[in-house]
Amino acid sequence: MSIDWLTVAAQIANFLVLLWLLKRFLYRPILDGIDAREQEISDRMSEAHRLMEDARATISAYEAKLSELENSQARMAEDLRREAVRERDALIAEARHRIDRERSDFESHLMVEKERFIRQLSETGARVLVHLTRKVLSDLANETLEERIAAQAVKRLEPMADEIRRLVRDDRPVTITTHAALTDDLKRKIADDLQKLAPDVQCIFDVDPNQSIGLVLRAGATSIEWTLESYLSELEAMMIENLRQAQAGKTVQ
Amino acid sequence: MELTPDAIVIFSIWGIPINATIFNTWIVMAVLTGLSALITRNLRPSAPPNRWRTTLEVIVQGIQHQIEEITRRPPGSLVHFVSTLFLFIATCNLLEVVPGFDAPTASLSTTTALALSVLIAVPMFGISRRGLRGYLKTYLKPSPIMLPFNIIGEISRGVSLAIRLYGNIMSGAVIAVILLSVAPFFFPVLMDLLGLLTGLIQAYIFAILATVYISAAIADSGETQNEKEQT
Repeated sequence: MSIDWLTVAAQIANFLVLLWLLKRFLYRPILDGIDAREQEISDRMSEAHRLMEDARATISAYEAKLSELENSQARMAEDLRREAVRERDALIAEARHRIDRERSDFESHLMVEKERFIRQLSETGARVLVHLTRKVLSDLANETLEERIAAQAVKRLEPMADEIRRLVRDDRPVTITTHAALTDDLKRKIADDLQKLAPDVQCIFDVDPNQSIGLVLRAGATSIEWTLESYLSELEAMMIENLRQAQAGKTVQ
Repeated sequence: MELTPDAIVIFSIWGIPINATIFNTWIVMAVLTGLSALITRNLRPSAPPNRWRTTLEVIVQGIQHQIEEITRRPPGSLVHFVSTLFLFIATCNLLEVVPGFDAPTASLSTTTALALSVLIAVPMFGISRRGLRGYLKTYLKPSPIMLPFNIIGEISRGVSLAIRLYGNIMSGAVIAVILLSVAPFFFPVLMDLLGLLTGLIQAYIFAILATVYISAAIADSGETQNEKEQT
């Protein structure tokens, strides 16, 4: 066992050469590759981090926009709701107003109809009443009633003196028509009373079974009636007139 | 029987004898350089990583991490030195199984050269790290009285490195030769297999010890004592 120092020096030189060769052909390519890989990974991570930050910023921006949109949507929905409520209230008010107006019109119309109906009913009632009265009086009428009417007419001749004088002027004969024949006394009294009003008058008594019970004075085309029909017609006109006046007074009230 | 390949002269250049140790070392250098160039010829940073590249990166990064665990700092150029030591010794020991190849590490001259390289590298790394003054101060710690002992310790490290590697490799070769003469065929094969294992282990140990020595030199003052105690 000995040491050859020449070999030792050569081996040291060989080792240093080998160190340089391996550094040149082995370590540097591998370490450069590792460094490049690490740098690439670092760059990619930085890029990924930057992209992540950008993505987060974008997400934040979109979330803000979404929130703003939701708020805007909520505001619009609230505005629309208020508008709808306002529109609904207006429509309801208008409908109520129209209903009130129509109800008022209806009530007015109803009142008018009611009044018209009442008036018609009253008039019809009056006419029915008169008709029934006429029928009853016609059924119950007899010579006594006609004589009573004639007697009553005689009493009313004097207040109608001017009218009778106009009737008998020009010496026209006066025809006195009755439903049934009058008694002689009554005829004489009628003739006397007429001659008191018109001294030269000529009285002609006639009987007409178709005439209503009572007395009719005719001279030419002019006549004065005291018949049951005339009484009832006057009664009917008076009742209807009174009813209309009463109805008009109620409407004014 | 020649115990060292130093005695085998292959040829001479200008009167300088080239023995088997030097010649085989050149072969090892050629093999390592050739393989390295072959592996890394397409290894460009821009090229996409492939299986070979990933494997090499894993190995180199494993070595880097191993050195980082020992030195507790980024390895820097130390990884080149230690890796070269490991690859050279491991390749020499593995090529020992080739018939007719005498491992350069079976030569005490080679192991001495490697130990001297480590001995030179220790102060160089220490000075580059601490500066000349700071490095020399480490020999006066913990007190100036320890200066001779520290110097002896430094020298004994190199000697132990050289003798350990040489003894292991040379003993393996000697035992193989002896067994070959006693029981040819079976035992030499078995010993060669064990030689492969011990060769790799010796390469690993040499590289680790070199790392420890260098890390002790470049460590901070508080760490230095711990490193020395570990060795």
